[in-house]
Amino acid sequence: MKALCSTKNWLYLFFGLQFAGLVVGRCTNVKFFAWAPYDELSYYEISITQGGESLSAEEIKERYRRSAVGRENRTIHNLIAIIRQYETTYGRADSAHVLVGFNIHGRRPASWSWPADSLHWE
Amino acid sequence: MKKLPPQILLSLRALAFYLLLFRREWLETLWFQLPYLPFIPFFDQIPTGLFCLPLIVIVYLAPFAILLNYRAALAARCLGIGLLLSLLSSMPLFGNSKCFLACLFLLGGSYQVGGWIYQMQLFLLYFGAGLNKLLQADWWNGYYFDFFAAEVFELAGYRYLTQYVDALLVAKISGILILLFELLLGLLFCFRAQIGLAIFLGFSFHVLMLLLSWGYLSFHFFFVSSVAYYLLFSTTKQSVGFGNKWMRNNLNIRLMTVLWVCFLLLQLGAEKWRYAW
Repeated sequence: MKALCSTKNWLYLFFGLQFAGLVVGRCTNVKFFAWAPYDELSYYEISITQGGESLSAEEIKERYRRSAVGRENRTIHNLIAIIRQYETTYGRADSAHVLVGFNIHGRRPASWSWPADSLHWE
Repeated sequence: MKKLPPQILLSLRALAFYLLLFRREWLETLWFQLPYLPFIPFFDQIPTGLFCLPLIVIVYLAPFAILLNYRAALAARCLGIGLLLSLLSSMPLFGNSKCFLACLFLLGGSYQVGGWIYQMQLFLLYFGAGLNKLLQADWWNGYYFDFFAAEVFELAGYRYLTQYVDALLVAKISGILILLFELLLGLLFCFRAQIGLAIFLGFSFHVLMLLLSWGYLSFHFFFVSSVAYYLLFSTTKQSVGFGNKWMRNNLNIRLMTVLWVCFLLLQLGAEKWRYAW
């Protein structure tokens, strides 16, 4: 029991989880715990309409804790994951329509929309 | 209670100062703003007060325990776990340098296990970064670096060079060199005999990025990495030929203290100047 609880064993688990994060990062588009800083750059703009009205930049920031317009220094799918999670949990009853326009490396303009949850490359 | 080696204590103090001075926004979110869009859905079932109160106690008291050297190793471990929990409890809060900082607190407090823990952490950081770039076409065709250097950071050196050489060729070579360098660095950290070289190359890499991006990319990573290198260097000193003198000699501690204090003050000044500007 003592051996099981030793610091060394906890650290093996800790590093194991980090390895798992790297593997998961390779298998999915979302890369949070995958040690992927500055691997993709994109400028984005989020717009939301709810009940026929557009939400302001402040309301969007409050909603996702992310600026309505800004730069994503990691994969844009991380931002999409945040929005998707909000809309499927806290904002499920809002029936909001979200559009994220983005441009990866200034060359690949695209947009992602919710509730369709679909990507459109221009 | 075993006395904390001075190098470990200095490293933990440097990280604690950095957390208190430069990560205030992160600390502020602990004031009853978590969990919010957590990575682990179960966290949403925990009431905000119940989740935040223990975190506030740990994350606000532990840095002072470290600074005062009161059960510093335990405080560092608790702080690392608390910070990791805060990151796990909010997707928008996540950042790689924050995660690295939390890991270093945890590992700094676990120094008895051996220097291999810092080797492993640095291997994961650099190898992971290189691996994520390796499999992206835009790192190979130059699109990433061209955008990064020409539009995002407007690097003067890149602009000058591309007056004479095709921009995409420069970007392609730079991108490939960076990703290969990160992979190499990750691998070098695996070998005890190569730790000195790895630290030198890693340090040079971060200094170069810092200079090229006018201090933007990235002060946070540079500072936290320098502490990680020092932790590694101090715990595996025999392998790089410094012998026991390195651990006994106070000169390195004074030198590092002066360097880190100067750097933190410089950055504080730069931030104030940027804000005023």
